[in-house]
Amino acid sequence: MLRPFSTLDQKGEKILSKRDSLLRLVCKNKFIYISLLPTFVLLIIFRYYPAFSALYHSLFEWRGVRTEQFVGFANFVEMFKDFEFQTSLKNIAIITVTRVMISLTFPLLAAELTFNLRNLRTQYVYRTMFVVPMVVPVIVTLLLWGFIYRPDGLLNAILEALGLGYLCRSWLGNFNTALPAIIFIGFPWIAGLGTFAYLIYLAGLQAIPESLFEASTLDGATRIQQIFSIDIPLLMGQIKLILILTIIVVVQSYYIQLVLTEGGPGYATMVPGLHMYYNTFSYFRMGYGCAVGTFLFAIIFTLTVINRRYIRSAVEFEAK
Amino acid sequence: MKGKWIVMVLVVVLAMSITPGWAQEKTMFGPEADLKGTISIYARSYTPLEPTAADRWPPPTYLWTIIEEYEKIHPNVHVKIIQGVASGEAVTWTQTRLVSGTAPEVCWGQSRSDVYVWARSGLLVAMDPYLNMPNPYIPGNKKWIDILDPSVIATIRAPDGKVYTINGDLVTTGILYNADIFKELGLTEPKIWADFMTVLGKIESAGHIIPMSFQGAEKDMGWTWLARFIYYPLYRPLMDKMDVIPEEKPGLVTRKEMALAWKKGIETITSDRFKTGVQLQKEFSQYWSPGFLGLTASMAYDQFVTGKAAMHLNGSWQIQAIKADPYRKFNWGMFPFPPITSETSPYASEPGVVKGLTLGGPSAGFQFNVPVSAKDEGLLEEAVDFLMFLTAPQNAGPLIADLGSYMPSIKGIEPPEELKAVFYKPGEAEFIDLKMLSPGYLNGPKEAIDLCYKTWQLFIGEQISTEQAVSQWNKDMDYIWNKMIQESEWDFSKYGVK
Amino acid sequence: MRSKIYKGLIREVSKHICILTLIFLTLYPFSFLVVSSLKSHEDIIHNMVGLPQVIRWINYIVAWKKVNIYILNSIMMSGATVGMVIFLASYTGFIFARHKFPGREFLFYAIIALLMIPRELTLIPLFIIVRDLGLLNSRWGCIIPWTSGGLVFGIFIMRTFMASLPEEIFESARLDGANETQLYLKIALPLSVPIVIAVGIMHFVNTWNDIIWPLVTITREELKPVTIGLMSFQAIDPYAQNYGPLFAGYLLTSIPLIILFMFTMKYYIRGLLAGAIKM
Repeated sequence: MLRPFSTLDQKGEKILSKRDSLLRLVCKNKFIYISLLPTFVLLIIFRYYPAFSALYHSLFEWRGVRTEQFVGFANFVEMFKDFEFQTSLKNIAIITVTRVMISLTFPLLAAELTFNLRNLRTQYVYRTMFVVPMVVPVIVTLLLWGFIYRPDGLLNAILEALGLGYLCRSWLGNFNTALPAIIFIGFPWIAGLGTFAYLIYLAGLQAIPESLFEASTLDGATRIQQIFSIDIPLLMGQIKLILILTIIVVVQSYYIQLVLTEGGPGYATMVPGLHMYYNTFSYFRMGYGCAVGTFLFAIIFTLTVINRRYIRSAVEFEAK
Repeated sequence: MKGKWIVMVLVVVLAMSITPGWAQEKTMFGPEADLKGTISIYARSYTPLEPTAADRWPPPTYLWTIIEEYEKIHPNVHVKIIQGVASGEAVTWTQTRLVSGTAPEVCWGQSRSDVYVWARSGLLVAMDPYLNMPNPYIPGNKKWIDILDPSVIATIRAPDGKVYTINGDLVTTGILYNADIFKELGLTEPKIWADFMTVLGKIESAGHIIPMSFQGAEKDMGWTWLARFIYYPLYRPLMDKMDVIPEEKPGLVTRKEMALAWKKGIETITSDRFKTGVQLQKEFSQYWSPGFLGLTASMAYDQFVTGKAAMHLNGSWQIQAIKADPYRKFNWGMFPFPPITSETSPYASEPGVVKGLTLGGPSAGFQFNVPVSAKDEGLLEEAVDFLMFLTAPQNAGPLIADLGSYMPSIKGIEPPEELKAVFYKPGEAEFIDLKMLSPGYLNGPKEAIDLCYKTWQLFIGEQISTEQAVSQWNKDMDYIWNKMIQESEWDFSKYGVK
Repeated sequence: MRSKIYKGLIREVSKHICILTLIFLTLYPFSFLVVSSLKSHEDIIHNMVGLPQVIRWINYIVAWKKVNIYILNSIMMSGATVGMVIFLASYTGFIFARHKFPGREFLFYAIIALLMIPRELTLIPLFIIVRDLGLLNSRWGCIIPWTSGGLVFGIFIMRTFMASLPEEIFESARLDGANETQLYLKIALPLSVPIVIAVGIMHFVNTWNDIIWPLVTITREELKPVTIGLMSFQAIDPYAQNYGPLFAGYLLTSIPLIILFMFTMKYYIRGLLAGAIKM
């Protein structure tokens, strides 16, 4: 049964504070504050302060060691005028949209298929096999796919074996295939690359009370109809959570490009995060890097606010 | 009576002290010298390793033999080999050790770049006094410097005029080719660019094999190598106009001289000469593997060794790999890069006087310096003596042959038979780097260099036009040269430019 | 009747076919990895798709010598941060969930706000802080920032879970004279074991896979965790790569995660379910 907030919320506090003064309350609870201290010290030093520092330094030309120089919004102006950055925006939009679509479909499909098997042991076996890419470190998956994409690599070898030799090319070396190739990594996108979506969906499905299925079958609904009328609505919480998490992660990530293409060829696979990385750690323009980071933050913040309702409902209905 | 004896003794003592070196030479170096102590050596590529079954080819082991022999001659000296430094970290490792005074007494160092910096900081011992002494391990040798190649010595002389590195080998580059394909199509090794294009064209029309695999993803081994091979013949006629700073080694055009040439406008990017080079690159690229911008040197090599590409540009170290490949099904050869001649462009040098071009030079494996810390530890003589022993042809020869990656630059060493066909005979190929140092842009501000590289990628991948590329390069190169002038604090006012 | 059974059979079989296709597509690249790890480098290059001409177990021995440091480092670093996160997040979540004190809501929303701050915004200043604290090139330089990152999500989850526990359990324990610490240790914590494990696993995997942060903070070879260690393993000698041992190394670095998943998958699923069940 859902334990609502109400017994522990503002109302309760308000009643108390009329009787006890704030100072007495604080003293009474000093043990609590002390035990919360380590956590908050960590968070302040390593989360809050860097965040504000980044926002602050985005207005400076800063090299990390030498003196800073206030430049106002010059960094941002330069950023939007920069051809490399503009291309990175275009690329990240494409990547985000496709990967979000991917994360909402393929893991869900696999979860449904697994869930609908009659034999629990088979379910267990298949589930384990789907999850194999997750035990491999992400870097290994990346380097493996880098190898698959080689002109003499696995993908081309398979194409040739299938008689589709004319499709063979250097996937990461062509201007028009580099970005799609990056997006395609991880096919069939069920698990791995750090995503837990499949397991989350599966757990969500398993949590649906059997009674709902029984009732609807009695009403004559087919399994397919049930999927749309029961499964998906009840998975909304997870779906929305995966949606928001995927967006947040994908918009800022660049490790794939860093390892495999360095943004190339040309600017074909450049993304904002990589632009920030090179400007910071290769060219030592920390202020400008902070500006790019601030921009990314603004994007994510906006997208998150738009979805705020969905997070709230995900929070209240599940633990994930 | 007694007075005469005293005078004679005094005269003898005076004579001995006036002839410096004579007494020292006898006992300072050589098999009879009284040396003791433990010295360490960081030999980079020559570091001997125990072979394992997973090796692609047998690692070098000869240094162990050399040390064994040396320790027999000098029982009180122990030579320790530094192991375990990863190839990519060699420079960082060496630099850290030098700065902290813990560098090995015989220490590898890449001349012309890092070594100059280290020398300027006073971290290395100048070898000139020792180079003028006889090397006791070489019978009949009057001066140690005699066995070392003079053009190499000229190149590695530091800006202060001193020689800090003892150099024994040269790295070369060239075009590896599939000899079977050449035979099948009736082709011979091209000697000039025009022939090279013909050969490439014939291979392409034969249809079943890529003419050349090119590592477009490599900034250094792809982009800059290509630029150097193509621009050197085009700019060589201008060398006299560029080689004008007397302090900067006559006969060698240094970066400073190139910066000056840029400022004087002797050559610009918007000129026809430069654009010719650009066009020739474009023409060359049509023969490369499709998608070459995604090929690293390693991948391009793999295309060659599996028979998918007929030619491949790489360095002499690649020979070990190609020799050791049990699955390679063809005979191979290597020729130096065919230079552009006046048959192709009026800007290039005269026909007939052509040698194949090779990049490389004294930045291979056998470059050893002695850190100043050796002097402080009293091991300076030991270090120098060991180097004398090491460079003696009877030792250096087998050492270099054992590794098999580099060409010996010590006189009196014959390259091994199987490598003779591959390593150009001395004088057969022209070492670009011994005449004109690589254009400074590799040492310039990184963001500008990266931009130049991206421009090149876009240009050669046919995403932007020649005009766009040239104008972008013009901007960026100007920035780079000016930045370099500013940071090196070069003053060109006496040449009439700001 | 018969057509119904028939239909049911077709449905079941097609389900299996779909799943098996997906599984094949998922696992094929990794089977390629396994097969290639037993080949010599030249065998891989010349014979990429086929079976090894000669099986080379030696690849694993050579690889092990190289990667065991990386694996050890990763285990130490990820283990430490998971320990810290579990410890701090669980009791912090407990406090937020079951106690009233001034500023509780404010502090909690402050923590949630951190969820919205992307990693990349804080990357640069965080690097400067870590550098100035002298933590560059040290394991703690990774562990502490990781912990602060994992704490946000961890506190959030733990708090939500603990808030959902029925008040009666605590009431009865309080009546029996238990103090707050005992409530935490003897009641809340044991009940939240599945959640704790789920949080722990997610954090372990996320830190195990982290590429960017170790890349910018650690350059000393002996401290490198698996992610960047493998990158430098590949780059040992760019002119003389040896893919056989390299791939063997990749597989060796997967072993700890395999072990982890084997033992904890049950609890992890239970943890995921536990949240959902509390509807």
